[in-house]
Amino acid sequence: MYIYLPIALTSVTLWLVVGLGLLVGLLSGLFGVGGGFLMTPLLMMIGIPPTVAAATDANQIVAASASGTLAHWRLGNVDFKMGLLLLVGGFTGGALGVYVIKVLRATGGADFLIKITYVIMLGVVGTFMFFESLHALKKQKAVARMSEEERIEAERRAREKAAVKAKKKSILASLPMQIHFEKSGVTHSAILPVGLGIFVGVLAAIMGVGGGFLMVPVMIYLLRMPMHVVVGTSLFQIMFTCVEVTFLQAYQNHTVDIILAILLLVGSTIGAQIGTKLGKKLHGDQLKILLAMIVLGVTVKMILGLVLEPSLLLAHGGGH
Amino acid sequence: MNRIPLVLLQAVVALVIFVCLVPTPASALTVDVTPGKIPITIGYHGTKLVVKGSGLNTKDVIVQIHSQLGEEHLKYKGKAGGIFWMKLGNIVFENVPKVYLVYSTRDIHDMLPPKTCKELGIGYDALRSKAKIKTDMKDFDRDTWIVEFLKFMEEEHLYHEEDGVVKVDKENHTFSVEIDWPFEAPPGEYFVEAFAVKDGKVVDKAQARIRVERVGLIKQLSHMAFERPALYGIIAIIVAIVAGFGVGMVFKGGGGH
Repeated sequence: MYIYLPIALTSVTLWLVVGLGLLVGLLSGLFGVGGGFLMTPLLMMIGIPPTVAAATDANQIVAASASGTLAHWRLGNVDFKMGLLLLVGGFTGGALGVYVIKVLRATGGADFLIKITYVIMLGVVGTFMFFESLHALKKQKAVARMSEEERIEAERRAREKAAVKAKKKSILASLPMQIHFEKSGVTHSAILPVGLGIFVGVLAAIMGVGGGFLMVPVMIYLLRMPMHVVVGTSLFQIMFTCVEVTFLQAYQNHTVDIILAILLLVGSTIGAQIGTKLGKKLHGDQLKILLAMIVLGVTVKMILGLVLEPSLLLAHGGGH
Repeated sequence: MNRIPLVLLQAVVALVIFVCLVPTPASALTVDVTPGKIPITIGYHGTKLVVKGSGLNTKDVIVQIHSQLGEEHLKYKGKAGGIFWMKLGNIVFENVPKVYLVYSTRDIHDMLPPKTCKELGIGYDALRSKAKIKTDMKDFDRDTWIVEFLKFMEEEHLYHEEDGVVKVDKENHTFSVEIDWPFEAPPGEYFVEAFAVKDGKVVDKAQARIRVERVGLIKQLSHMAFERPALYGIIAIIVAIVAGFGVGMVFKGGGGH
């Protein structure tokens, strides 16, 4: 069964698009990422113009993240306080990033910067997450094999390590506006999540993505939030970012294809629910290693796309 | 009195014999397309077009469908820093149609000399010679990029060249060809041209038109997206949020949590 898309000006197979939505929604629910970094290239592969693919993707992420946020909120996994502070930073950073791109486009070389930023960020985040999770999994197995004395000894060493880390953290702790985030069980200065939000927002705007795959590692490794709260909070934050992007794209560029978005969101909202339930059954480190492998896969694909000669030397404008 | 009708009758018979014996005049070639109007509905995936013609007094015929000539704005790819393939700049192809489909009884090159093809705008060679390129690329080879352009448009299903597919019925002086109209072709007016070819010359030609237009929901959505973009954006967001929360509720109802 075919469906014609009024803005993309192309015809697609109904089940293929719903299936794509389901797949990306599943990842979204599992990892708390919007899936923009996967969906946009996939849509382009089935013949959707790059500009329409990116804009419509933001629209469907609104649905998937709304569905995911609701599911996680019910499970008590959304840290609204942290989410709002990250959002404030994200919005500011997004505006800043759009401005940076505008300046770079005027001077030339913006496309190169976008691609390189994409590859480096994905590569670094993916590699770091992969080895970190692998290390954690190995440690768990080792702990399981330890005797009682060994375990006590290991715990003592871990406490010492934590004390050293806490000392390092004292600089962050000395920052003003310290807030305790009950849901995440951490205390940070409000400046930290806002600052990190700005950083992710700038990068997300440069790369033209929601930034979920950057925000998740930032929350895990820099804000030290527990994995289950990270996913819910990230989805909450992504939902608002994508509402803003959808409106701007529809208003300024007329590139949101509502029919395509509906088909995708039918799949992605259901996928997000399944992903959330599946996520509860999987261990945090298993989840992280899976996400790391997907991120690394996309990175490798992008590098190959950059290095191998394309079959066509012409392309439509827009996208990456 | 009886003589006048007899003379009249003789004249009529003579006229009929004359009309039958004298070769058909050049304007006799006709061409017709079904359907003449292609509606773009929600389930649209291109359509089958049948181009038929009559009054053909040659063995060879060329049928071509094209849009009006215009500009195609594209990006060209190249190696940045000698390592990475990426879009490097803009390239505009001028004086080219958005859609160009050409079908013939046999290879156009065997039917017509290149000069005639170029003059009448028949075939890829004619496109090649008419197209103009504007680009920010330094030292570009025109021929290479024209070839790339044709390749790109063929990949998009907007250009197509095929010989041996137009069927000619010599007895009835008719021809026909079935065409897969690509869904990628945008709404607009298209020209269908038929050329009767004999001894390296076009001896007759005929023209018809096809109109491709959005109808119903597709037309309304497209209109709203461009004429009332703020409303369109808000509706897109509301639909997404309602769908997201709606599915969330349904899953809760199923006893998931």
